[in-house]
Amino acid sequence: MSKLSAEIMPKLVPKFIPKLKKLKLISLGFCQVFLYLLIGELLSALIPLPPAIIGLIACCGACLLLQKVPESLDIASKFLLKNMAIFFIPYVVTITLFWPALADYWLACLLALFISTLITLSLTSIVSDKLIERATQESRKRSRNHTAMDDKK
Amino acid sequence: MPSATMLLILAVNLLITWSVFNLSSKLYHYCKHFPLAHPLILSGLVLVALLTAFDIPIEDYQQNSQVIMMMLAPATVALGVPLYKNLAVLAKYKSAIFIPLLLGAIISPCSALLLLWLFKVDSSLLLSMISKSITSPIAIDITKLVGGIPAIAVIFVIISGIIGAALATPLFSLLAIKHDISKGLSLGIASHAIGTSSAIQISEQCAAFSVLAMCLNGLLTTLVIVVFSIF
Repeated sequence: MSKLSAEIMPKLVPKFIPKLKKLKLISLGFCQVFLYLLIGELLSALIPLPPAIIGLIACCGACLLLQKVPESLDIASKFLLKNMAIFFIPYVVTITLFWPALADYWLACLLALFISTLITLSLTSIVSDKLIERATQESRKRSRNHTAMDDKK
Repeated sequence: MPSATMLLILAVNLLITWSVFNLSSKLYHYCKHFPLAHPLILSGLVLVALLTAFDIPIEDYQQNSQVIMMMLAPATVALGVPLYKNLAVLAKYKSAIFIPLLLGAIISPCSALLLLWLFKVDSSLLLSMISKSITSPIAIDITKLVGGIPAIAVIFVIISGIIGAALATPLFSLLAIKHDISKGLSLGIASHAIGTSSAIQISEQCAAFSVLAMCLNGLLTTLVIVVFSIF
């Protein structure tokens, strides 16, 4: 038995150590996320914003103070964000519970939501694309002028 | 032991929801991002079909998915990380961001209200429509302020989120939108957190600007409504 473990353990341990390290980091990151959520929960009594949004601002503010994203927080946030869409599914399913409340108006509501979302999405994305294009062109021109001036010097 | 069976039910619920979602997102990629095959629509339909097939009340499913619903708050907090990573880009384009934000915040509720008014819909539904592009916790408060029905407002919020997320990919390629910043902004303005969850699939920068747009849109609309309700 001891001989077996002596043979197998050295092979197994190096495989497990990185995984354990990642597990440690991710749980540390989760602790931080829940800490910010707790801060949001506490501050929501004072600020008229939802706790999660205050927590989001707290998380961003903490990173600003540290001047970097801790590796643990980065891993945990990537995990949470990758799976974020799943957390909406119960809400999507519960729509069917409240659907009868819309009664005769459901088609009008659906149509209005569809058209208005379509208009908002297209207009904002087009306008912001144009503005960004202009801003980048201006900054490029400015940097070109700067280099020209440097050349004259 | 009732707590053990309870735990088992929760685990099974989580497993089924997770696997239905993963299968439907595989199918979504297979359908080349066809809007109606969006994972949220598809998995919602499949789950409702499964629940009715096995005669499980939807209330029970909702009760047992509290754990999944609770995870939304930490996920929202985690959005602070991509936001921090893109603060420098944000500072660079701040003038290019504010105008579309203002435009979207005005157009989104106004166009919906106008359409509903044209369709001659009840005024209580009209008032619940005002907050349709704002993340649901803020939307509930706003709807209470203006005198709408919060439960219906939440439905509108979720549906406009799903519509935005489903339309995003084909619409952006149709309009030839180049910058991830613009994609993120419009998704955040039109479809709040659900739009953000699909912006994450595009890029981290897109997610950051979606978060920003979602938060600022919520703040802006709240401010306008509060000022209006005072006068």
